Amino acid sequence: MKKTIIILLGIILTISFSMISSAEEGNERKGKYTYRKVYQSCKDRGEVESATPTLSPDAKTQAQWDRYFEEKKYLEADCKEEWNKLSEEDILNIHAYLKGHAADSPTPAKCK
Amino acid sequence: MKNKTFIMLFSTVLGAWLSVWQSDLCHAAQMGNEKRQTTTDHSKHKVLQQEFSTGDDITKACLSCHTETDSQFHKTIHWTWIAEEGEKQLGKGGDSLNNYCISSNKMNDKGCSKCHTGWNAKEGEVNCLLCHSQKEVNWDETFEDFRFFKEEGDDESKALAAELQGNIHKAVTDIGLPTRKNCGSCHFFGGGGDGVKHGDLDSSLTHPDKMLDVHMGTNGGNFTCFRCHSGKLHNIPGRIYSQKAYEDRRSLVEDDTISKITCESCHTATPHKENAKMNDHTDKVACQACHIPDFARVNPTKMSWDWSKSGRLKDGKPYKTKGPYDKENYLSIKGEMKWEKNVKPEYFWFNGSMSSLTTKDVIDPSTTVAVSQPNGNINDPDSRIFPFKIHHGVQPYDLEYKTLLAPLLSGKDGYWTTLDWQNALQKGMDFSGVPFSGKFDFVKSTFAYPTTHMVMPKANALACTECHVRTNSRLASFGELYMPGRDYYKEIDFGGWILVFGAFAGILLHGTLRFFSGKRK
Amino acid sequence: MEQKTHMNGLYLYSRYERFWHWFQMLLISILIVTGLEIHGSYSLLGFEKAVHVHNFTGITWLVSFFIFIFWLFTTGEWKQYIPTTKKIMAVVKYYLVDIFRGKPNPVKKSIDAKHNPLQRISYLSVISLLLPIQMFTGILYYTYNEWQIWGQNFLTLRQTALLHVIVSFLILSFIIIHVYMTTTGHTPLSYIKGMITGWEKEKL
Repeated sequence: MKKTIIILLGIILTISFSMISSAEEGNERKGKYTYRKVYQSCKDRGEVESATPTLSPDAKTQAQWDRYFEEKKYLEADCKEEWNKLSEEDILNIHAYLKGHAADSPTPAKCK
Repeated sequence: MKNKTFIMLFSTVLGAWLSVWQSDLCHAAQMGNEKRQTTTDHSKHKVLQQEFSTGDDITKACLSCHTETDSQFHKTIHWTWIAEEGEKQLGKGGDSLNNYCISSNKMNDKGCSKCHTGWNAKEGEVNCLLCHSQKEVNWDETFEDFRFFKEEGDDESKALAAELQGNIHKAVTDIGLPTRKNCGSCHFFGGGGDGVKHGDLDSSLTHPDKMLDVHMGTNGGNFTCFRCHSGKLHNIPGRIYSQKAYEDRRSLVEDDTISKITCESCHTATPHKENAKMNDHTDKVACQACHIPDFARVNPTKMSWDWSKSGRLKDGKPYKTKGPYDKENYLSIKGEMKWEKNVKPEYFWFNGSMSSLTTKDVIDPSTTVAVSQPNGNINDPDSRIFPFKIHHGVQPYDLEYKTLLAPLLSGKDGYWTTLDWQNALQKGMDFSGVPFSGKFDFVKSTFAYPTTHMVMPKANALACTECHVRTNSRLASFGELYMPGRDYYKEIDFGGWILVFGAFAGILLHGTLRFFSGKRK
Repeated sequence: MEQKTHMNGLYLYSRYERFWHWFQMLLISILIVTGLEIHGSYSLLGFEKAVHVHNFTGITWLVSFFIFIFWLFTTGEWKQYIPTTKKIMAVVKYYLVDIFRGKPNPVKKSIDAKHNPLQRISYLSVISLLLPIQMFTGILYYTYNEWQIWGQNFLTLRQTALLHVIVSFLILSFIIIHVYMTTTGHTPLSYIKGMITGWEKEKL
């Protein structure tokens, strides 16, 4: 009985922890679309020539992406106008997306 | 001419008449396809207005009108990936292999199935949109994301879900005949990347200039693929294993029901101006040989691939390096490779069929193994001199059974993940259903691809002296063929010139003697 | 035939004969120049053009040759080419020895015998042997694509080309000697003048 409770407790803890952490890490699916939209509207505005984001997720490693967002380096790159409009959550989502498909992730991805 | 003066008048009249008719045919062929062949607007079909959350649902909607297409399509090689020819089960879904990614392990290598025409390899329905939708969509991702956002339910997710469904709707209703982009989404990327496999098929043909391809060029004929690859009941001609891509060399002028797969189909066997010497070549030289001076003129193509060099690590990790044309020339997971641009083809006799090896064929590892080679010879009236891309490989074979081996590449057990040949070969051969002794080594191999696209405008066809020349003739290896300009007998020429200069020397001597003897008087 | 005489000359070559001769010179020169280019000996007009010119000139030459044969037989001029051994050694001796000693040609030209025995033999062999072989191989070469329909398997393309080349070297050698021989008249240009005007002056 004790064992079951511990196991249950463990499961609950894991689930809630993973939920918290996923909330902290942002929704990478949403991030993908937000990221695309940044460059789409940036292209519509005429700042960049292609709607394909300049940086693909696999352009950096997970650690490099963390540093990139920590230091808000995206504000130094192109499409600053769009980046400035993004909410904190949007940025978290994009961070999650880029990190989730970084070069050293299990599923490195390229933007098309 | 040709000592046939008596029929000249007749043939002139006939020729003029044929050329008028032919130009009419060509003219008809240059009209826009969509306008000519589409009689429906798919966005008006009710069945396509629904919400789609899987690919199979879309196909079921298609089939509600196009009732016979799936049963027809399931019989084609685009679906089966198998060409049963005699004893052999050729094709990617059969026992065929090559010297690029070697094999799809009977379609068990999921990496290869991306190009299969189903939504999920051979499971489930045909993906009609792959070829018929004018909108390019990453279907797996779109459906997965759509279902995810729909489930999430918050406002932002709902908006994203609606947007994705909008994309799906656009793709489902924008239907037409396949464009170069449709076919190219697989065929331009054969071998796992742009221009890897065919030297004459790569993404540069999506919007080609007419210098790249006079037929497909957007400022030329602007042909779609099926303009020549015109088939029936979803059987698209053009594929070549031991079976030829065409039945005969007749032209539309002779029979208007044939497929247009050969050059002769439209251009006839005498495509040049009347009495042009070039017309006398068409019985031995394929059109492609002169009209495709080189291939891979815009994008580079892979010319060699050495699997035996794979597996090297840098700091304990797989790595890759780039070489000329900004193309990878080494990858730990693939080995060493070379890319080239503007490649001069190699020429061979070709009767339209290829001999290709399967996982079951026994090889001679002491030689360079021809995994695929053209059939034909000088005495075969169906054979022509034809240009080929020859891809050189070094690939694994079974030391005991002397068969070529088909490693599993992608996935968690695949070589690309494990860099473990032993295991990848075992897994791959298990899928292929062919015994593996466990002992392997690498063997040199060649793979021939007929070169038939990237036809240049006629002004850019090869000059005679590319072949009819004593040194560096493109056909230098065709020894059994006599070619003026290239061939001569040293002894005869030597003797001939001795005679000529001897005559000169003789008259000089005679003349000098005459001159002095005349003076003496 | 009425013998035209004028000054000390003979009217040896009729207008047609003269025209034919110079026309031959032109055609054969073109054939040799383009032929050697097609053979791969050098590059001049460009292969395609050389082939075109060679074929056209060849056909033209063929037609003109048959007209010449027709002329030969209708005018009876063919008799000029009947070979004879009479005095042939004297002629050979003349060209090898006597010419340097200033001795006269042992054979006098006349309207019925324009050619000396050596000329007769060499012209006859050119006309009846070299040229027919060249014509035959030329036509075969030209109609190569028809062989299959005709069932022509007497010669292969290689043999045909080989014969065509050998004979062309022989013809070229003949021409070199022939041109030189025209300078052996009583003045170096008198024979050539004869072929231009028709009148040939004999040595007094």
